[in-house]
Amino acid sequence: MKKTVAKKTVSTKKVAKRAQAPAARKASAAKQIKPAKKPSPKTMDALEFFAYTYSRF
Amino acid sequence: VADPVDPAVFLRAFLDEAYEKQFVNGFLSTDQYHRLCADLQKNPKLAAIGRTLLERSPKSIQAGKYGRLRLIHLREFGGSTFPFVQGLTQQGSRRRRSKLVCFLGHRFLQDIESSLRFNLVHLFEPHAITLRWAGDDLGAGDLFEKILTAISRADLCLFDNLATSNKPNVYIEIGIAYALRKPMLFCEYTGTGTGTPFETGSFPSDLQGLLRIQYQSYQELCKKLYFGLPGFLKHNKLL
Repeated sequence: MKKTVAKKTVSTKKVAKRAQAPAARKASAAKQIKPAKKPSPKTMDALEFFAYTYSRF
Repeated sequence: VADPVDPAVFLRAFLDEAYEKQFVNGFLSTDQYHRLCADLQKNPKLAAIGRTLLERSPKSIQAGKYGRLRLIHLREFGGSTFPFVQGLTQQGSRRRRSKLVCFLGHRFLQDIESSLRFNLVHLFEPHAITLRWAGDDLGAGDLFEKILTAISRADLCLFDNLATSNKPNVYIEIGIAYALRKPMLFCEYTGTGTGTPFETGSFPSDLQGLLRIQYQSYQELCKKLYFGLPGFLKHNKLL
C-alpha cells in the first residue's frame, strides 16, 4: 500500500533565505579561513632571506 | 674585542660571503645570487638593522617575516672575540627530528678548548648537532678505547690540527675516522709564526690527499664552517 506523505508548506521568506545561503556561506568561509601565506624567497630582501634560510634547518 | 667599525659594512660583507658559499654549493641559482647581491648593495634598511643587531646583541631581532637573527661574539684562539651573525632556527621547523653527534678532535689546551667548543656549539645549533670529545664523560678508563667508541658512534667528525706541533694525536684520530668511513671535517691551521703556542708543525704525507678546510683564524674558520655546513651535510645525506 502506498504511503502518502503530507507536503510541508514553506514560507517564501525561508525559500529566499535558503537560496542565498550557499553564496553567503562561501563568502563568510573565505573571510574566515585565510590561507597561510607561503614564503616566497623571490620576494625577500637579502637579510630576510638569510634569516629565512637558517630558520628552516 | 674586534667589533665592526661600521655595522652595515660588516653585515654586508658577512652576507655577501654567505651567499657566495651557498651559490657555489648549488643552494642558490645564478638569478637568486645576483638578485641578493644587488639587494645587499642597495638595501637602505641594512645600516639600521646592522646597528640594531649590534645594540641588542646578544638578543635576537626579527628579520622580516620568517626568521630571527642575533649578533654574537665568538672566540678567537688568542683570547680575543669577533662578531658573528647567527640565524635562529624556528621551534618545530627542524626537518630532521633526531640529533646528530659530532666527534671533536683537537689539541687539549685551555685556549683551544674554551674557544673551539664554544664556537662550534653555536655553528652546529641550526643543524641539531651535539659535540662529543675524548674524555668528555670524565670517567676513568682506557682513553684510546673511549676514542675508538666515540668515533664509531658519531655521525660525523671534526678535527682541528691547531697547536699539534709536538702532540700529533689528532692525526691518529683522523686515521680512525677515515678507516671507519665517517663523514669528516678536517680544519687545517695555516697561520705563520713559529715559536707561538699554536704552532702546528708539518702535515703527515699520508693525509695530504684529504680535503682540508684551511684557516688562519677562528673567525675565518667559523665562517667557512657555518656557510659550508649545509652543503657538507647534504652531500653526506645528514641533512
